[in-house]
This record gives sequence, structure tokens and C-alpha cells, in this order.
Amino acid sequence: MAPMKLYGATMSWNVTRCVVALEEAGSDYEIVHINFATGEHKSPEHLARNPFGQVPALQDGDFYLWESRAICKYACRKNKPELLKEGDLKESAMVDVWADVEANQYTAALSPILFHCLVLPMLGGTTDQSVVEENLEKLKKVLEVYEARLTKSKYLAGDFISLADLNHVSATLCLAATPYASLFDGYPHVKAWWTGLMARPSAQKVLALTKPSA
Amino acid sequence: MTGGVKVYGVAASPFVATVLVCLEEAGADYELVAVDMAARENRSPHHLARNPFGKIPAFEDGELTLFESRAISRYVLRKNNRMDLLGGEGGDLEGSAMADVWAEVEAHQYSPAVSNIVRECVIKQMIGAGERDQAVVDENVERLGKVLDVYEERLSESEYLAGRLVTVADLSHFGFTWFLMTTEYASLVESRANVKAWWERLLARPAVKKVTALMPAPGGVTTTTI
Repeated sequence: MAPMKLYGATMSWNVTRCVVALEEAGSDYEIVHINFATGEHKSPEHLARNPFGQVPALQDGDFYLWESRAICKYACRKNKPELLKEGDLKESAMVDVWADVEANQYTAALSPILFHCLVLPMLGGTTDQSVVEENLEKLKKVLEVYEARLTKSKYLAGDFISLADLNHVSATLCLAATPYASLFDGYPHVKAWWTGLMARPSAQKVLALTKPSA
Repeated sequence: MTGGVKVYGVAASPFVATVLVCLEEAGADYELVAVDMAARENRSPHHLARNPFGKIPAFEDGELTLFESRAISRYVLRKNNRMDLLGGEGGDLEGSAMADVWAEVEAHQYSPAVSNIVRECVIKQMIGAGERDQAVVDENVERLGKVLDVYEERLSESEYLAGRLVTVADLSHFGFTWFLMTTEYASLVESRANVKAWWERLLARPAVKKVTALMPAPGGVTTTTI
């Protein structure tokens, strides 16, 4: 059985979100780089994998899928379903709730901060500090909810780790390179939860992949 | 009605509407409990206890409290054995993956664009939050057009987004699309034959018809319903 192929660039936290899930699931996969500079993401070959011309995309044999969180779920269902708790009505619902919170509340606020602080400067653009400030305020409100939640349970969906927690890792790792690296210091339970996640081999793998080469 | 589940919110919210469609598809007993958005009841302690982000919908099934419309929808469908509407979750690896893919597309490609159009063209006037910002509308109309071009192609291959059968990925488009179709930008759908046919198939579903009856008539939404 050929390894699955994850198409994308490792500087994208959407791509590395999938790396975390694939690693946690113990999947057999390889990363195939897509070159944005040459417009490869809009090539017919790539549009056949992801009709929106974005990364990541995943190939498993003849099967193609895209959207990072759908890819992450697929990897878990295939090789580590306990990360989704499907089969348990209540627990799977809690995983879904907090996975949606990651997407719609947490990363929705974090992503513009990362874009303006890290990506725009690299593309020769100017950081719009008002966008950063506005989203920082949103993110802090989200972290207040997380702090309250994590005083009640070890992980977001309950006392078990799930894909909901793991989907936070890739974007949060990027915070370290921004002026907001110590943002979690004001939220002790969030910080402890994050410290645990960062220590996992899947997070360390992403760090190794995204480390600038010497 | 005792023993049924409770949805907290208003049908005029596209996110609440998605949950109601799924409840109707599941044939589940439910009660819609109004949240007075104009009075900011969504920020009250009793609502925050149900949804700590102060949004609607929130959902209760006995002791279980949930929020985030797409998570609630999945719970409802699983509980009522409508795994077919989840693409065959629990058995069909590829089918369930395609349902997930297009549910993500709705969340991250479609809704961000259409919600801006709906907010500028419909919601702002209804709640007295100012005039339409045409620049925002134009930008998002262009964005949505590109997304719908992909949908048009996809729907030439299959009747529904994830494949041959309807799934939650299709159903979750109901709320925002319903509002879009009350604006002049309905042309975005009507000019695309496959998208138009797909939308009409959704509207024809008994479950969707039931929720359509709860939606405000154009210009008929009061401040308490949004």
C-alpha cells in the first residue's frame, strides 16, 4: 500500500495541522511540496486534488480530499478513531463542539494575527497593527473561555485528548515567532494544556519541519 | 412538549436554521426557545452558561448542553440514526470524508463570503445598524462567484455536494442562501444552472419547507428576531 501524500508547504499552519493528525494517527504518509511561487497550486494537476487551488490536499490511493480539518478527521477515522470518540454520542459531540470552537473562534482570531505579523512582511507587505490589535482582543476573550473550561477538564472535550485539542497545535506553534509569544502566561490552565500539547512527538515533528535551515 | 430537545435562538439566524433543518430531517421532537438578541439576552449569565461564547444556537438534550451549530447538527443526526446524512459515518470512510470536505467548504469558503453579503444587504437594515457598504458587498460577490463556479462544476458531476446523496454539507447551506435569495444577488445562484437546480432540490425537501415557514419574510424581520 503506497503511503498517503499530503500536498502543501510546511510553512502553512493549515498543512501542518494535518501533519499533527497524521503523526498522532501513526499514518504512513509523505509530504509533497507545492510551489506557490510558480503558481503550482493553480495548476490543473493540483486543481484536480483541490478545486479551490489551495493547500493542503491529501491523496490516499485513488481518493483525494482537501480542507485541513476534513483531512485530519479522515486520518483519525482511518488509524486512530479514539481521537474522535465516534461511537459515543456524548463524547463525540464534545469533540465536535471544541473542534468547531478551534476553527470558528480560536484560529479565526489567531490566523489574522499570524498573517499580519509573519506572512505579510515576508511577502513585502505592511503589518496592519489595528487588525492585529482587534484580533488580539478577540483571542483574549476566547482564552478566557478556554481558561474556565480547562479548570473543569484536562482537555477541551473532556478528560481525554482529542482531535479538538490537536487541531490547535500548528497555528499556536507560530505564536512563538510573533511579539505575542507569552500570550498564554495570563491563562495558567491554558498554558499548562499548551505545554503538554507542545511536548507531544507530533508537535515536535512540526517544529522540526518548520525550523529554518541553518 | 417534554422529553424533546431545546434549541436556544431564533429561526432567522442562519446557524440556528441549519440546526432546525437537521432536527426536521431527523424527525426529532424539539422546542425552539427564543433568545432576545435586541436585548442582548445572548450575553446574559443564563445564556452564557449554555454557550460561553454568547452566540446562538445553544442546545440542550437533558443534561447535555452543546453549542456551535455544525456540532449540534451532527449530534442530532447521529442520535437519530441518520448516518446517511453524514455520508455514512461509522462505515463509509470515503463517503463520510466527502461529507466532511464539503461541510468544511461551506464553513470556510461559502459562508464567509455569503454572510458578508447578507449582513450588508439584509441584516444591517433590519437591526438599524447602518447603510450597506457596497465595497464590502462587491468584494464578497466576486469571492462568492468564484466559489460558486467550483460548485457549478461539482454539481455537474453529482446531484449533491458530497455525491449522489444529500448530506449535512448541503443542508448547512440553507440559512445564508435563503437570505441571499431575497437580495438582488440571487442572480449568483440563478445564473448557474446546476447550483440553481441543487438549491431547488433542497427547498423541495419537507424538512427544509418546515424551516422555510419559520423564516422571516423579506423586510419582515423585527429587531427581536435577529
